[in-house]
Amino acid sequence: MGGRGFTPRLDFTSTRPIYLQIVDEVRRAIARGELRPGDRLPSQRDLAVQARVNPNTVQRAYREMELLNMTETVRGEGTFVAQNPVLIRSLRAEMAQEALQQFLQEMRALGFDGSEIRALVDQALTGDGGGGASRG
Amino acid sequence: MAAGAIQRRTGLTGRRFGLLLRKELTSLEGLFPVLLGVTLLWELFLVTRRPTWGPGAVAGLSLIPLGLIPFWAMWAGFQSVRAEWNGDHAQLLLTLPVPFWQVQGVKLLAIWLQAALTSLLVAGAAWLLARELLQELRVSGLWDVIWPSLPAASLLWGVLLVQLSIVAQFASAVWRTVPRLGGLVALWATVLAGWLGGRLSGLLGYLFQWVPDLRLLGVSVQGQGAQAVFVRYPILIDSGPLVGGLLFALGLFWVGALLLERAADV
Amino acid sequence: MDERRPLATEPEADGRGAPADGEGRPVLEVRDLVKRYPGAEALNGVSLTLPRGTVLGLLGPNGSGKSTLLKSIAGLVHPDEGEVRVEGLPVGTATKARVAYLPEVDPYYRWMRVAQVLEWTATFYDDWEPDRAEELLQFMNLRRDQKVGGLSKGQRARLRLVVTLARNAPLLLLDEPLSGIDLASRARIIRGLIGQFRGGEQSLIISTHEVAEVEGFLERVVFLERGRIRLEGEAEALRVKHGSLQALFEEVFA
Repeated sequence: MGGRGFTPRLDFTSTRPIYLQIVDEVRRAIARGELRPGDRLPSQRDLAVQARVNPNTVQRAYREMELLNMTETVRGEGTFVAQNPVLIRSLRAEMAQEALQQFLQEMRALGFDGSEIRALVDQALTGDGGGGASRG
Repeated sequence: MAAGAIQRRTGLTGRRFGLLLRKELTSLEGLFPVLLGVTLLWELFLVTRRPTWGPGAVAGLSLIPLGLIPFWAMWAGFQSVRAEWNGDHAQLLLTLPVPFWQVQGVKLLAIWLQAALTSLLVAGAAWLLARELLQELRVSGLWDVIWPSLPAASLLWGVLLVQLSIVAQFASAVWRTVPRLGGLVALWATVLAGWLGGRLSGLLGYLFQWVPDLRLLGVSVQGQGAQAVFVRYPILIDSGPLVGGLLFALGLFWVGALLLERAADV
Repeated sequence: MDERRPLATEPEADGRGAPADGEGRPVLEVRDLVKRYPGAEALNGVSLTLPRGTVLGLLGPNGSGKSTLLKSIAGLVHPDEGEVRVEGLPVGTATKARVAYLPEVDPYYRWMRVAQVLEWTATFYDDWEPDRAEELLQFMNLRRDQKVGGLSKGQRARLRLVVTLARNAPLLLLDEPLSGIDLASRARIIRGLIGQFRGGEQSLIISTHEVAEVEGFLERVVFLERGRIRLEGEAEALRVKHGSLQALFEEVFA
């Protein structure tokens, strides 16, 4: 099997289309640094076999990633994570935004207002020494 | 595209034929080994009895297994369909890219080869057991009756076995095709086929009157005691109905195969 | 809940729908199929069109007509009404050369060795690929000298998969391919199936009532119930609407 053993974790009970779930997983792996610029992604068939999805679904995901400039395909060699420093930064920012929004939404639902949330965050950050234990 | 570019042959090629025939010849479903075994044991038994019973009696008794062969041919013809269906092998045979009459034909061919082998075995045994009598037979003139009749008699024997095996295979095919009361329907179909065969072979016979008649020789004894002589007289068998009967059997064979291919559900 | 839509129109622009050699016609057309058995109706007006290169899941409880439909396509069952065409040809000797059918039962002779089963298939089907057969044999942990009569139920199920998948046939029909295969090796078998499936040139119908195992592999699904199509559509679209196909299956056949 080629690639780097990257296997997306897919949730078939989710209503999110499988091909987008694959894109999400790659994006997450890039943002976390598990996949670096220039890294080769598994071949479409290998990924399909590993994730037990239809090769066409993987093809669609790879095309989507290409369109989003996340990856580059070199004919005959495979698909690689794009050599694009802006990409990682923007992906990280994007995912940070997503995490933040989710957090805020949750906190507001619990009835906390802006200043309370800020205070709690400050407290938490100083509490664990600013280690930045980010939840995935 | 690549899958479409392959040339996919249908029907029997040499190798396919060989594979099917080998399967049929080695199949145990028709109980051929039993027929062969019984025949061999009987002949061997007669070899041991020969000193006490004498060559004449033993040679006559050695022909008895011939009587088994027609029954065996029917059983084997019947099993040629039944066993495949009972063992779920019909799915294998009916999904082959081969017209089913070819599959059925190979089955019959195997039965005929096995019947011919057994017949030859019996004839060989009889000849071996009676070989001292041969001189006597020659002198008496009986040999001149047996010898010229042999080709025609073999032909008749062959026609009988061919027809019996085909009728049995047909009956089995009907059984598998009719979803309910298949056995009963098959029985009636066989009776009907027999009756129809008798009628049609006669009618068809008119078309084949030009086929030369079969010649057998009969023998009668004239005179008494030391003056007794064998008198030969010819027995003529009209080949017309014979050919007609064969054609009818061929039709039956074809209908049976078609029923299994186009009508019987697996 | 009726999400029927014609299977033939595949608007996805992912290229696989575009036939390279102008063979635009669907690999399979089933029209108004009716099959009655004494006292029961197995198929009750089923119509279905399968575009080339598609993986179709034929889902339904036992006795819903899945097997009967597949057998009609394979030429083992003869419909009372309606018509089946494979690559434009009515079912017959010619289509049997183009369909690889995996039966639910064991069709091979007990005296055969695995090697003989392979030889048999290779001799009768010109689209046999020996290399692929060898690869599959290893993958499925089978040996050539094993006797069919001595194989376990699971091994025989795997042998059937080897024989079916080693053919480069335009249409594969798998009738309950996972039945008899133990839970632990199912994921592996499905991986093997995905790895060997050719896509594009090859179309596949899997009948199963174990939806979860093949969930991600299916592109289209047809839910059969008592011989009728209860629901049909693109797998992804149905999933987006209802969650997993497994959940939908349970919902439909509750």
